[in-house]
Amino acid sequence: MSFLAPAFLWSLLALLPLAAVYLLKVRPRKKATTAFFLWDRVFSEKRATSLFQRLRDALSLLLMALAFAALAFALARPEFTDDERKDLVLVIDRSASMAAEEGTGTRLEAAKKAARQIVAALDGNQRAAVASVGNELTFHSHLSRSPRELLDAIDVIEESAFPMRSEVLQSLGEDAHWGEDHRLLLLSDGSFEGVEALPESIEFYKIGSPVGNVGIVAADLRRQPDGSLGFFYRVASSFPEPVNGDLLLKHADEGDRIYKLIPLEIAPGVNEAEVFSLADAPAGRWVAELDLEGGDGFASDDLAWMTVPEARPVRVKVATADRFFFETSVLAFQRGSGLLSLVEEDPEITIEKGAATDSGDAVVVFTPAGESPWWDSVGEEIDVLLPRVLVEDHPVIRLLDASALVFAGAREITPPAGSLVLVESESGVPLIYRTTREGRGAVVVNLDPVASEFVLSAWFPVLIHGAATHLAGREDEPAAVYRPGDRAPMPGYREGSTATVTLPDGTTTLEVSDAEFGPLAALGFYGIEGRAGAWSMGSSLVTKTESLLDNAAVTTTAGPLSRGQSPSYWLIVLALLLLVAESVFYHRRKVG
Amino acid sequence: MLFTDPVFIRRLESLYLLARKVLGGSLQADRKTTRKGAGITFADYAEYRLGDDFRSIDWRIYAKFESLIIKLFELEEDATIYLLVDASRSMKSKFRYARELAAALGYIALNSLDRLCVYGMADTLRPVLDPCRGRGKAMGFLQSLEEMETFGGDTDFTTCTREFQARRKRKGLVIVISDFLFPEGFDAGLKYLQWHRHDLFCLQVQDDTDRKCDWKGDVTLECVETGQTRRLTVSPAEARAYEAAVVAWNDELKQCCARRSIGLASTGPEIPFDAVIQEILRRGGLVA
Repeated sequence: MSFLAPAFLWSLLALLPLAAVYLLKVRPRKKATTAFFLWDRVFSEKRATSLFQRLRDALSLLLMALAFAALAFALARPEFTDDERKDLVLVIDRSASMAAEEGTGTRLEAAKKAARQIVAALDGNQRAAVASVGNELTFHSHLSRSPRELLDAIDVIEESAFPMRSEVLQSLGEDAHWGEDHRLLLLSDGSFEGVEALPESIEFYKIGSPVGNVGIVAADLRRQPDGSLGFFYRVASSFPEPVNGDLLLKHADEGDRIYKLIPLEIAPGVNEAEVFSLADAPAGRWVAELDLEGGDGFASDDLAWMTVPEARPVRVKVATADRFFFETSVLAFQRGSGLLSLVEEDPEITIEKGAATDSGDAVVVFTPAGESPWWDSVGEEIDVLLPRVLVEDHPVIRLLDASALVFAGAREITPPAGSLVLVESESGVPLIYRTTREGRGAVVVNLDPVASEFVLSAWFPVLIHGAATHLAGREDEPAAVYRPGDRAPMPGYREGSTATVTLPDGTTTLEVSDAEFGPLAALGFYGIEGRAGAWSMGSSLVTKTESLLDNAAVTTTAGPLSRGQSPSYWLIVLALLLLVAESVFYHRRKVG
Repeated sequence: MLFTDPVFIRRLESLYLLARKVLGGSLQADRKTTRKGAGITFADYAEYRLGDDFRSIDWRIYAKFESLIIKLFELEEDATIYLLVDASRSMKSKFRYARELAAALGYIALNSLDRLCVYGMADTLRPVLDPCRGRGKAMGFLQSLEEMETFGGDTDFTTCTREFQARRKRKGLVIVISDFLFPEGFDAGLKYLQWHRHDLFCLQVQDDTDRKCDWKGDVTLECVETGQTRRLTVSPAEARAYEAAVVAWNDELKQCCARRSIGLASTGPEIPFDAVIQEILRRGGLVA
């Protein structure tokens, strides 16, 4: 046992004057009586208690002395652990699995309760901070000795739909800032990837016990080449025995009309993936719902929200004299996947050659010449022997081998400031670049496709497709399902454009002016209203580690921790009890 | 207020006038007595015995029945009133009141031409007023009471009565004014006086400090008479036991007086002394 404030033990010396004062205090009052002999008669019958009465003063003094000693020890702050009193960082897991019901509350509530007990035990003697972790680490308090501040910080932590990102814990554990002077304590149910390989600097404090649960851990829904919808799903169970249930596939845009009911016999663990085809199924918003016999411990993973976007080809106009090869390229994608459509009016993308004087918002320009808003100057022809790809993964060129192209007819060209050069010559002349001006965008291809016979290459339609979908902001079609924490693409995004995002609660809206928005924080359907029209995106948990709630194999690795009230607290309680007991005696002496 | 104060004396005079009216006497000794003797008020008949006064034989009865029957009359005598006033320290809180009562009774006695003798009583007997008689002694009597003080240690009533009897052989009416809280008891003293053919009347004076215990807790109890102390813890139960003990003690006094045909009046300072005397007179005087 050690004392944090041993100087207060000197206050025990005050027991001596206390005893003196006490003895003076208990000196009884003198009362004169005219019938002393009658009092004698009354008390002669009470001799049995006289011994107790004689002892009572001593007992009362003893109680007072014990109460005083208890207070002195409480002030000296005794400690019964050999803890080095490092600063403590309480990291509470607020990932989705912590919302699982267990007993009378959720695992998150149990974690917060444990954290409160730890804070109570600190008793202001030790600095601590409170943080929560889900898809990211959030600090709710600074390092503080104030129990009130720490408890308030614990109280504000709420459940989230985010799956745990174990890399956040990894970076926390490896952060040199939390070095030898700190203890990192993770209060978690252990339902996340990499729990067994946490950094050594993180002490794991297990919350909860195994909970039977079945969840959808993978789901996808997309249009098949034959026009049907392919539904892919996978379920996982943490029940020790197989359980039965149904998986209902509903179309949310038709009032939750059930398109498919799939009977399931779910084995423990992660089950095999299944694929179903739905003929004549419309695009739109879909919900897969698990209906289990007897229910389970976690509701959020029983639903998967998915979207299948309507086919919306990018409208492309060819505004060149030699249209044939350009139109053929566009029609190739129109006939196949319907990604592009050749139009004459209201195009999204215009393909031009030369000076590119057409006033479209998005232009793909070949054979730059003359004056144009898309370059500052164009010079003499150059020979390009070894083109260099500068941005390999750019959507315009990611599907083609740009370094193998023959850039015949390429000229000296100076792109506008701020342009993104994707391919350049060995002498640094831009060959393919992306540029914007006053909200309009262009992809400039510095070659003559006819002279170079590029129009005969298989890469020609690929380049047109890449440039058109990129300029339309549609190079990536939205996925059927996103996880909370993911960032979703903004369909039709163009620099400077904004879109309104409606959250799954249906009432909250956000203005987004970026190519992506997120991280997604809620489960359900997000609505997007922007330049490319109305879109929906599904956000579902679909994470096996959050659904498999059997944490029996996970053990606490945290070192010794004081929980509950501190010894000082109990000493003060003891002192109060002793004082109450003494006051009973004192009351008896005072008023009989 | 002094006992010789005119206002106080007027209150005593009023009591005397009431006594005259109630008791009806007008000559040398107005106080009624149970003893029979040569008065003028017929009391009873009795058979003639040797030594009886011939003048009291009822000759008419003798003429009819040829037996000697004498008439008895109420005795109107020159009675002696002894006031034994408890002057122990236990009377301190009610000593003025006890002296007021004594003043009233003594004043009536002197004005009724009875002989009056006053003693202070504690662990021993202390004379306050030597036997005297007549209205002219009233002021001296009141002066003596005025100067009277408490004295002595523990009240020893039995000793006092023996001392009294040793000093005063003449029978009379002994009025004991006291709280009767005698550690050695009162029975022996009363019995002794009665055995010596004194008429007795007890006037018990107690106040709330005698009857009740309104303090509780740890106390050092001190006897006001002896200075003896005792450390006690007085709980409500003990306080109630004490009050019950006082009641029992007073009941014992009542039973003792009733058994011995001794007049008894209990009072306290909360009742004006003249109201007490009036009540005693209305009940027929100091006769049991």
